[in-house]
Amino acid sequence: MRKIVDALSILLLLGGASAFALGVKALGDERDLASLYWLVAGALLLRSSTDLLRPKPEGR
Amino acid sequence: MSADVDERAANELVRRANVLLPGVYAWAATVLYPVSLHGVSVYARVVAGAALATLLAGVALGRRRPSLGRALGLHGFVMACVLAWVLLGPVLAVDRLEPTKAAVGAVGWVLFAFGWGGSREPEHVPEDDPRALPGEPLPPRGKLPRGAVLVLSLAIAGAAFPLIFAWRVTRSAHALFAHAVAIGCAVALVSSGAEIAVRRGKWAPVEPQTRRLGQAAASLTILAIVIVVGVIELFAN
Repeated sequence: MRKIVDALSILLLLGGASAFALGVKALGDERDLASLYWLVAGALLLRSSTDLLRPKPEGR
Repeated sequence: MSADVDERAANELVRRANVLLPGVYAWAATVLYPVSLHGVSVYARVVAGAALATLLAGVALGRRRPSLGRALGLHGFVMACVLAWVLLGPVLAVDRLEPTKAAVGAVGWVLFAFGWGGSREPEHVPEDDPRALPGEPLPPRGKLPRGAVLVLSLAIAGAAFPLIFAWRVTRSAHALFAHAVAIGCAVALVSSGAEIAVRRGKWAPVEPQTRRLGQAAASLTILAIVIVVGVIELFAN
């Protein structure tokens, strides 16, 4: 299970990198809305990837 | 004794010069030049003058009142410069910037940032400082988790792509934004990559492992919604 969650966090990190690259690329293609979409998706992918690691105190 | 005083005075002079010279240079290249153009508001000129005065005051006070000197010479100076840029308005529009002058100004600000930094002096041991807290040396926590270098390398490689794609943006206003976004993305990717690389597995154990999924539930849910919206939009078009 631990390996699966580790692999998932790495996959999400790679997804975030791809989404950021697509976001900036879309900006170059003058597709501003698509760019915004990919940048938001990238930020969420990165956040999810680190949230999978972050131990939080009990009771939160 | 006299040699010590001379050495301290020389060090202080070097420290002041390291901050003052790049600061004045950056100010002259990026603030003085635009405010000296025709048609600039008086407020922008006054704030630009105040920025220089703040820098000089910060450097002058740096030795006697280090925190006040830093607040004035670093934070106050930068804030006054930013305010001057805001007041300049369309004078600083991207299509009116001259690339060489902008690049020279950027170098000035980099040097200014380095001037405020400090490095360990040769033969100086930080633990010998009387303010250092005594205690047992901290042992290394062990080896890095397996694959840490690979994960960080992937993150660094991934961070390069937004920086490369930012150069493809040809619209002038969007180009500056693209570079700023690309730098932000690259920093976020490398930070997250480093965190994932070193905190996997035993360095930050979370039991049971399903709790890790629970921790990320909120962000994963929003992510799923965003993906669904994207897929719907894709098929709608």
